[in-house]
Amino acid sequence: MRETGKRRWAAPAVLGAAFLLAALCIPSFRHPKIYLTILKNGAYNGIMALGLLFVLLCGEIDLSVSAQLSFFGVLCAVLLKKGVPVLLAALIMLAAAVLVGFLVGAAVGRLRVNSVIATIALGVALEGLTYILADGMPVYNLPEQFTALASWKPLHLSQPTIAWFLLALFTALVLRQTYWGRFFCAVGRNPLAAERAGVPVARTKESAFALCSLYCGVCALVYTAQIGLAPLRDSSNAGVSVLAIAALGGVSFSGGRGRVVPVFCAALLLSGLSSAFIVLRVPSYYQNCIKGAIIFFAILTKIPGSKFCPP
Amino acid sequence: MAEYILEMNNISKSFPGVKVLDGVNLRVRPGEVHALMGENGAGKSTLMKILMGIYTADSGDVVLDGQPMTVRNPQEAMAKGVAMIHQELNPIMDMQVFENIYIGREIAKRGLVDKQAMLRATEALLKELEIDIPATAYMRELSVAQCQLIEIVKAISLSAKVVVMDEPTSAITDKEVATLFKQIARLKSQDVAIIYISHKMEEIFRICDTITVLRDGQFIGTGPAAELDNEALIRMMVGRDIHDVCPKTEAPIGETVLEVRDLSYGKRVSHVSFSLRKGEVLGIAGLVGAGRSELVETLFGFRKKTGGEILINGAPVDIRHPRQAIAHKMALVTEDRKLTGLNLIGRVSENITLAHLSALFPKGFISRKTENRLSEEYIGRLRIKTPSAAQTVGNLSGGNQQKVVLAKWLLTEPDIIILDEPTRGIDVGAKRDIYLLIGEMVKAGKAVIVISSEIPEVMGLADRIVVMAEGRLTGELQRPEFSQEAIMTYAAQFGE
Repeated sequence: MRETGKRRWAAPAVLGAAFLLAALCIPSFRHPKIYLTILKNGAYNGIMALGLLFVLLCGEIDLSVSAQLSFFGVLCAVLLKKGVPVLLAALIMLAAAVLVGFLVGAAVGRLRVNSVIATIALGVALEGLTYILADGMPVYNLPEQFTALASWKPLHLSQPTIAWFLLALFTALVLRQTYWGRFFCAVGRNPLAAERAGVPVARTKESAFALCSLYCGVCALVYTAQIGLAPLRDSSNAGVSVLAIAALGGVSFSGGRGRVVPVFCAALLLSGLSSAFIVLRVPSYYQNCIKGAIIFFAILTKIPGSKFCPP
Repeated sequence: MAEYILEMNNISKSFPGVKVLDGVNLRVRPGEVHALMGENGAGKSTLMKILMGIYTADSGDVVLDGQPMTVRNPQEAMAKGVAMIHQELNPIMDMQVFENIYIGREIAKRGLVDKQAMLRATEALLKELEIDIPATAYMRELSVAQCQLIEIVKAISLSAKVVVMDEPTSAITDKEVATLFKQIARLKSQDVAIIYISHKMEEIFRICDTITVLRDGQFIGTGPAAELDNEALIRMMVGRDIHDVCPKTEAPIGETVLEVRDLSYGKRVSHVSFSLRKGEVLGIAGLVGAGRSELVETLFGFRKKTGGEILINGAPVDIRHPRQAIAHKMALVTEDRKLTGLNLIGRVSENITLAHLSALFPKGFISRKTENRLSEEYIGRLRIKTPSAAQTVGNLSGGNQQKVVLAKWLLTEPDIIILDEPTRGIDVGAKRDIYLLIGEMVKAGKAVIVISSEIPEVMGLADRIVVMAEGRLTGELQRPEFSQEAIMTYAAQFGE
């Protein structure tokens, strides 16, 4: 769904204004280095938010993204430690990710299981599987061929950033230019009408979840390569952050509405915020409060008819 | 008491790109049934929504019972004594009938909701109004028409000073219409004013005292019903003479294109058999709840048949999903466009192409240029009133939304077209457009099925009529045999 005219530039404009403000107030924000960091750190949640976008557009939700991230990371790491060549390990892991997504999507789309319940169940199951697979310990000492890839930095941009850009382009292409992208929105907004118009609703939902999991897999790949190990649990509460990014990015949680550019900008904004907090030495507990408040007020401005929303 | 119970003076309202109302006046006396008429997009629904506080007028004022009235939401309007039965129904599906009727004003006993009292009051009211729906039924179980009846009961139970009825009889049968009119008479005797929005001229002359006509957002005129007639009204509404409201197009009838044998869907559709030929219009008549919509939904693959077979062009087909029905060149325009026909936040162009996307763009990539071109073509062909193809469909009036649905299906170039209540809630001008469209379809050799609860419409359009009752096909009539009595007799065959 395309916005016309001025509203298309709202998200980048807000982002630009925020960074301008930061540059004026905080010395570190005047050097390019911090922006590279913001791009790198924001990439992980950014990639998962893009994957989640497919699911949200269909009117569903995936609450298991952080569990998937850990699981796929551990899966790939375990394969690597067993001597599987890097490329093959990555492909197997991504294939597994697609499979996991398809299974959840089938449960939601064909068996009509509520996606909140299905993905919570998946998350819990994957958490357990992660421990089993890794024998209870984070997987250290990944093969050098794998971690060496992480130091490849074309144009000074880190791998996660590049992966994020590429996926953002791909997502935008699918959503705007293909009829499959149209199906996601149609299913999300009015599944009854979509079905009667011949849209394969169940298959559309399956593919949405499959894509979401695939993106989680890609994120796991670049994440473990960057940090050199596969942790068992995600301590950064990525699941919640990703949902917040989607909300901030104007994605409707009842389906049918959402675009790549605002989601991308929202991820950058949150990442920039985190970096700003670190530079300003804001204690981490305060960080969460402030982040939460910003997200809350940002969403208020999107509710039509509320006092804060511009007409 | 003032002469008028309700005055809406010089009301104007604009939406992005469209001026919907321009200095409109409406004055209603107590105890009067006041018809509000006009074509699609004339502004009637918008005017009523302003009355109910759903919209705010850009200029003008409203006076109720001598006091200026400004309301910010429907609840305030209801508290002041204005009730509305909407054209587009929105009951709370998972609640029961009595809960829906008392929603927002539940009867409380010592701080807790008194379900028994609400239930008893509802049952008494339903009995008095002679409506055969259990007060404990869930709204989800009721058909469209039954939901409408409950909306009417709700408005009646609110004891309002002004009751607005927006197309109240569009989906209910004659027997229920008679009940409704009895209730209207009852309200009249209690000095309640009724604003009656409808396109059914026959009804309007039967029950209304005064008629106000709008056209393109302008106030055209108002006068006693006794001094107006059909032609004068149409002229006021449309601005030009329209003869022959329901023109029947003659077309050559070819070979059988669809054959249905013993089709069943549980008990709702029971061993139905019929055939359909090229160039033919087959009407399906019957009372609400007879299973007509379920029949066509089963044909179309939306419901899974439990028995019987379907043959297209002589060959048996297995249709398990609308996609397959579309591949077999079938189209189904559903009964409720808002619920099952449209993506309301999508654009006109997106809605028009939805059923045909994979065929239009086999390589997967959408060309918006092509999409817009096709949309403009159909907007022109069907005379859809919209500022552009990029307009959000939810902003269009009911009739134009229906035309968007029709455009969607015509784009797929089907051979068999099924129309379920295609002119529900649509005015004379647009109705005629649709009848002419049906005529074009049959002249082009298509086969058309029309489900309609308006017997004159079915009799005017169809070459043959089959009648359903309680899931069974109870009768078939050829054109020379058409009569209202015959159809009603077949439609009322209950029990067996």
